[in-house]
Amino acid sequence: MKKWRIRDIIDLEYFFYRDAVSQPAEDQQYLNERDRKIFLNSVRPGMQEGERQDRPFMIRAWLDRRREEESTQEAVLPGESFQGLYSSFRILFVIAGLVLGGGSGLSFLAYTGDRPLNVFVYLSVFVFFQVLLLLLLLVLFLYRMKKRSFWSSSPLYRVIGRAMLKMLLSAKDRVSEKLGAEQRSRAESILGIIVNKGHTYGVLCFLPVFILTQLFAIGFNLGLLATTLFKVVTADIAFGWQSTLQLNPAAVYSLVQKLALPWSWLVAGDLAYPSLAQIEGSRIILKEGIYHLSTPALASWWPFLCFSVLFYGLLPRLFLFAGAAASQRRHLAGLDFRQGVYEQLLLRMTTPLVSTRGRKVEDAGPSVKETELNYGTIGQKAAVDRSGSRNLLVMVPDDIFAACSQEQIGSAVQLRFGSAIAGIVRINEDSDTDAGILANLKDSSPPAETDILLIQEAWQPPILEYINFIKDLRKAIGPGPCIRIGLIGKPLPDTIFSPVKDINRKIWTQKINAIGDPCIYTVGLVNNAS
Amino acid sequence: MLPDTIPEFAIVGHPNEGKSSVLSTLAEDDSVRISATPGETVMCQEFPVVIDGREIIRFIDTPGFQNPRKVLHQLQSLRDSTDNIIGAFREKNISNPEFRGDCELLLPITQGAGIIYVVDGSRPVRSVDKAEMEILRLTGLPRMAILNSKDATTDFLEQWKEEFRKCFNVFRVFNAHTANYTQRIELLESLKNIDPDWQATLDTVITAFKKDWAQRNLTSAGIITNMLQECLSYKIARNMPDGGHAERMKADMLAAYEKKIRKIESRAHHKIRSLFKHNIFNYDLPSRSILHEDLFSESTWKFLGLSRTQQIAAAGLGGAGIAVGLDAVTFGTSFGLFAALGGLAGAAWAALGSKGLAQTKILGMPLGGHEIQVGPVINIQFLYILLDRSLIYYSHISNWAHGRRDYDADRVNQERDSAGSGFAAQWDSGARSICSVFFREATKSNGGTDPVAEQQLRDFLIGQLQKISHSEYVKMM
Repeated sequence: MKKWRIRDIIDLEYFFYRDAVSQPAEDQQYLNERDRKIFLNSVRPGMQEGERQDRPFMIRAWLDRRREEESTQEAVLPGESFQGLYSSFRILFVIAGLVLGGGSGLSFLAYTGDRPLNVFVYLSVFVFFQVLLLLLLLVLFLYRMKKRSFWSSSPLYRVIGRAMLKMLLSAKDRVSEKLGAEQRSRAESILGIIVNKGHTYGVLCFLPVFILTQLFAIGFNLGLLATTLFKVVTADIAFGWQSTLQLNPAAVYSLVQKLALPWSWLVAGDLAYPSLAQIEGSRIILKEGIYHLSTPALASWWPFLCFSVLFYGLLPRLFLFAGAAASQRRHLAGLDFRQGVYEQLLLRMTTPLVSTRGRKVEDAGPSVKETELNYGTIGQKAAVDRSGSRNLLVMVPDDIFAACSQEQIGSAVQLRFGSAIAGIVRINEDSDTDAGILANLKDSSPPAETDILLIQEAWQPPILEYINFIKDLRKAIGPGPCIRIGLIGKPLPDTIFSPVKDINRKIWTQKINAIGDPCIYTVGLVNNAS
Repeated sequence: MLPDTIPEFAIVGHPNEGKSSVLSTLAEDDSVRISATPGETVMCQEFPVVIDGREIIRFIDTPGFQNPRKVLHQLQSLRDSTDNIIGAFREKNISNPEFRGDCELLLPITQGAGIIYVVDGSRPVRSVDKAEMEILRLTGLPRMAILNSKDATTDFLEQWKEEFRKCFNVFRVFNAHTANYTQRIELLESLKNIDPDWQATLDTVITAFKKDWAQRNLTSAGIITNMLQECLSYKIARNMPDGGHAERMKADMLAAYEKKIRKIESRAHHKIRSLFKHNIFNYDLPSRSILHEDLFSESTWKFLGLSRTQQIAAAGLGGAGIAVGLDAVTFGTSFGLFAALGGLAGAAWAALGSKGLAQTKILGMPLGGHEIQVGPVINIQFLYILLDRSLIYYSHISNWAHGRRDYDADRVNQERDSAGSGFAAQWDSGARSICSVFFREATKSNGGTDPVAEQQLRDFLIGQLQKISHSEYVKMM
C-alpha cells in the first residue's frame, strides 16, 4: 500500500467536508450509492478472495478513486496546493533563516578596531539563547511524554487553549444574541470539528509547523556560521572578554573547557578552546586600552565560537528536524482511521444497496438484472466481511422502549450495521437510574470490540440534557468505544424505526460535531432509500 | 401578582415548538426571529400591548427548556425546604452554565407571570414534555396550553389533550401559521379564563384590538375608494406638434397612462400593508398569484372582475354611455358603428375584453395644432378588476399570520387557485349598482366626485372587508 502523506490527509478531509456540505437533500442516498460503487469497482478488485482488508487500505483506495474523479474536472485539490505551498515554504524558511542568521552575524561582527568584540555577548546572543529555547522544548517534550498525550496535556497548548476558550466564550456571549440559532449551531459545530481533528490526528497537525521551525533554525545557524567564518577569513577581528565582576581567568577557562566538551575530544589543542594563557591575554580592561593585548590571544577565540554555534545551534536543530520528519512518517503510517467519519465511510462502502422500488417488467433489461444480482451476491459477501465488526450495546430511551421489541431493534441493527447486539439498556427513566447505568459502565468497562448505539428520536431538539448525557456516557466508558447516535424519525403506527428528515439530521449532526469527539457521531438508523 | 402591576404572560415550552411564532402572530410583529433550528431564542423578550400610550399587558417570549427532567428533579427536592421553589432553584443555579437557559426562562415565572405553554401537537408526548408540564404545575401560577401544530398530523392530539387535562386550567388549538384576526381574539378571550383577576384588563385589550381592527378596515376601505377615484378619473393630455406621428404618440401616452395606474394601485396596496404591520411579507407573494400578474394582463382580465356574461349585462345597462365615449376619430369607422347600435353594441364591445380600457381623443386646438388625450376609463370592468385585486390583496395581508415565514410555500395551492375568480363576480345587483354609480361619477369629464356615491362604495367595502376578516378560510390567490 502506498504511504500516507500529509497531502493525502488533507484531501481526505476535504472530500469529507464536501460530502458534509453538498447534496443536503438526498445526500445519504447519493453517498451510499457513490461509495458502494467505488467499493465494488475500485476497492474489491484489489482484494484477495476471502481476505479482510484493513481500514487504511480501503480508505486509501477510496481516496485515490475520488481523486481520479476530481482530476478530470481540472480542479486543484487542496492537498496538492498544500504540497506546493509547503515545499515553497520549506525553501523560504531556510532562506529566511540564512538571511537573518547571516545578517545578524554580520552586524555583530562589525569590528572597528578600537575595541575587541566581546565573546560573552556573542555566546549569549547566538548560543545561550538557542540552548535556552532547546531546553524549554525538552521540558515540554518530557512533560508530554509523561502525560502520554499531545493535545490535552501540553501546558503550552493548555494555556493557549484556555485563553482561546475564554476569548471564544466571551465572544460567543456577546454575539449569540445577534446570531441566529442556525449560524450559532454551525459555528459551534465547526469549533467542535477543529477540536475533533486535533484528537484524530494529534501530533500530525503540529509537526509540519515544527519542521518549518527547525528549517528556519538550521538556516539561521548556517548563515551565522558562514558569516563568522567569512569575517574571520576576510577581516582582522579581535575577540576578547570583559566583566565588571572580578572574574578569574581560570574560572573563565574552566567554563570554556566545559562548554567545549562536546567537541574537545574531536579536535585537539587550542583549536577546541583557548588556553588559559590565551584567555588571560584576551581580557579587556578598559582603562588599559587594547594595545597591551596579545594578537594570538585575540585571534584564539573564533574556532571555539564556531564550534559552539555548530554544536549548540546547528546540530540539535538537524537532529530535531530528522526526528520530526521520522515521527511524521511514523504517525502517518500508524493512522488507524477508527473515528466516526471513517466508520461511516466504511459502512457505506460495505453495505449492499437495497432497492425495493417497483418497476415495469419490460423495463428490466438483462444488463440491469445482472448488475442487481451482482450487487446482491457481493452484498452478502460484504456482510460476511463485516461479521467481525464491532458489537453494539444499544441504549433505548424510556419513551420508546415499550414501543419496540428486542427483535425489532435486533433486525434494525443487523440491517444497518451488520453487527450483533451485546445488550439493550433502557435509559432516561429518571436521573437516578441514568446515574446508575453510567456508574455500572464505568466499573465494568464494556468488552473489547463493542461500540454503543444510542437510539435517538431526531425530531426532538438536541437539548442540553441529551447532549450532557452523551458526554457523561463518554466519560463513563472511557476513550475507546465509539458512540453512535442512531437517529430515527417520528413513530409510525407499526414501528418506531422511520426515516429521519434531513433538517433534523443536520441539526443533530451539528450538535454532535460540536462535542468535538471524533468517535461520537450520528447515523440514520433507517436508510431513507430502502 | 400584585393588583396594580401589569399582567404578564410568559410563553414557555420545549425548544422549537413555535413559541416565537405564536408570539409573533399574537403581537403582529414579524421582526421576531424564528427558524427551524432549535434554540433561536436565548434571552427573554418582552412584547408589551400599549393602548393610548399606556402599557396594558405584556407577553414574554422565553428560551425553551434545556434540562426539564433535571430541573423537575431539583424542584421536587426543594419542595420541603421552601415555598418559592422556582426562586430557590434560580438562586442555586443562576451561575451554572448548564442551567443558564432554564434560569432565563423561569425568570418571568418568578415574577408571577401567567403561563402560556406551547407545544407542537403534531408529535407525540415525551417524558421531557411531562416534566415541563409538571414544573409548570408546581409553579401554581395561572396557566393555559396551546397546541400549535407544525404539520397536519393529528394522530397525537388526543394524547396531548389528555396530558393537558392534568396540568392546565385551559387549553386550545392555535396554529401560529394560519391564525387570523378572529382566532387571535379567541385566544385572548380564553386567556381571561385562566385567572378572574385579569378579566377586566383583558377585556380592555380585546375591545381595543377589535376597535383597532375596525379602524384598519375603515382606513383600508378609504384607501381603496380613493385609489379607485384616482385611477378612474385619471387622464393625460399632450399637444401634438404639427407633422407629429399621432399613432406613435398615442402608443407612448397609453404606456405612460398604464404605468401611472399601476403606480396608483401599488401605492394604495402599500398603505394597506403597513396598516397591517407587515414588514417582510408581500415581497414574496407567489409568483403565479393573480396579484402578481400585471394589472393589464390577459389573465387578470379573464379571472377577475365580472364574468363574461355579467360584463355583457353591465355594459348593456350603461351601453349608451360607453358608446358615446367611443370617438370615431380614435377607433375608426368600425367602432363608430357601435354608437349607432346603442346599448346592444355596448354590450358586445364589453365582451371584447380589455382592449377599450380608456378613451383616446384627438381634440382640435384653436391655433391649428392638436391635442391628444388618454383617459379617463370607459370600461366598468376595470373598476371591478381594481376592486378585486385590492380585496384579494387585503385578504392576503390581513390574514397572513405574522409568525408564518414560509413566504413561498403553498405555491401549488396558489397555482390551482389562480384559476378561480375574485370577489366581484359574487356580488348581487345592489352592490353592482353602487359600483356603477360610483364609476359613472368618477369618470365624468368634469372630474368632480359625488360624495354620496363615494360614501356608498366605502360603506359597502367596509362590509366586504369585515366579511373577509371573519371568514374561516380565505383563499390565497
